[in-house]
Amino acid sequence: MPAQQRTSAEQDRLYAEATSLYGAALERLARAYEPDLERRRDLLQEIQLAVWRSFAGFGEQCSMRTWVYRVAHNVATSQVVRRRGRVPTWVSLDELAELHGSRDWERQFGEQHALERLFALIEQLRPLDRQVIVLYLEDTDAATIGEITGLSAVNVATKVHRIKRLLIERFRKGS
Amino acid sequence: MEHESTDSHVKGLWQQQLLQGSRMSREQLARRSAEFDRRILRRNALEYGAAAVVVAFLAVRVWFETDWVVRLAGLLLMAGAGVMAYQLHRRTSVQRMPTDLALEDCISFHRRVLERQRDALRSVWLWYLLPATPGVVLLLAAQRSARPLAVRLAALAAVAAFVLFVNGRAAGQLERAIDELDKSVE
Repeated sequence: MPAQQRTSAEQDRLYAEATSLYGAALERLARAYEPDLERRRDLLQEIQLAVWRSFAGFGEQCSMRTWVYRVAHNVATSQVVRRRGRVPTWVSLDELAELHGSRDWERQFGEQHALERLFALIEQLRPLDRQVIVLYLEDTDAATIGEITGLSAVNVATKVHRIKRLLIERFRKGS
Repeated sequence: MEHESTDSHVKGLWQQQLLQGSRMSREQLARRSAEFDRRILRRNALEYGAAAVVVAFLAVRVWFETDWVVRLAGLLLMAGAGVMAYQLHRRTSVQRMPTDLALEDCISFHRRVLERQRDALRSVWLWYLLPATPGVVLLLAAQRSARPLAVRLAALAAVAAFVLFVNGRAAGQLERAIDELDKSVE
């Protein structure tokens, strides 16, 4: 369906609706991509701006949820790709699972709050795996995860299975 | 059962985070949007402005130069500077059509960002080195120097080779990032 041009009032209405429904999720998403507080605020504002501007062409090509999450993740990915040289090397879900049980991990995070451990886990992940785990934690169904990320249903199921296993291993031990 | 309770526990941790609840107002959005557009305009003006300064400088030199070979070299360098400025802008400027951000799924978007960067680096010989080469070679040929022309051209070739090597290596890293992305969706 071709993108239609929305009026300014429609654009504002859609934005208000989107922030009402997904505003908190976008803030959590920004946290998943940016640990630094100042940069996170900046990223969140960039995401909100991109979502608002994007609604000028929203023609219900997909659900609002898919639309908003695609914009948000794509904006965040652009930022992390730009900063790639200055951040630690990312790992995949499989590689992260292999790090489980190392003494360093237990020593480093044994005493910290579970939420901080969760963020530390997410920050190590490659952009695509990060997108899936964040969407999973937001209770996004598998079909929508696939629509947002471009993953096939099989790939989504595989990644979700790995996420569940990882979370059980890391948070069962730590709780 | 235990798996489900861990799952719920972690999701609960995630979704019940303490948030700042910051939302930009309509006025703040409009202001930031205008700031963003101004930043892009400023960046474009800087890129083309730098090229314009180079061209203006060369134009003055060409005007007062009596050696026709050096004049020709100057004209070629002016043309080269214009081509480089245009190509630099076309290949490396930020492309942020807001609607496009939503029309592409995350994998396609990420792949396109990486490919664009990779292609710009791979084609640096075409849009960065080649436009300047005719003018520089002619200028070297026209200069009176103790060093033989062959030596000076070899030095030029060495610089070009180094530029190609550095950009090629960076393009290779991006290619590996694209391969990683492709493997993760297999």
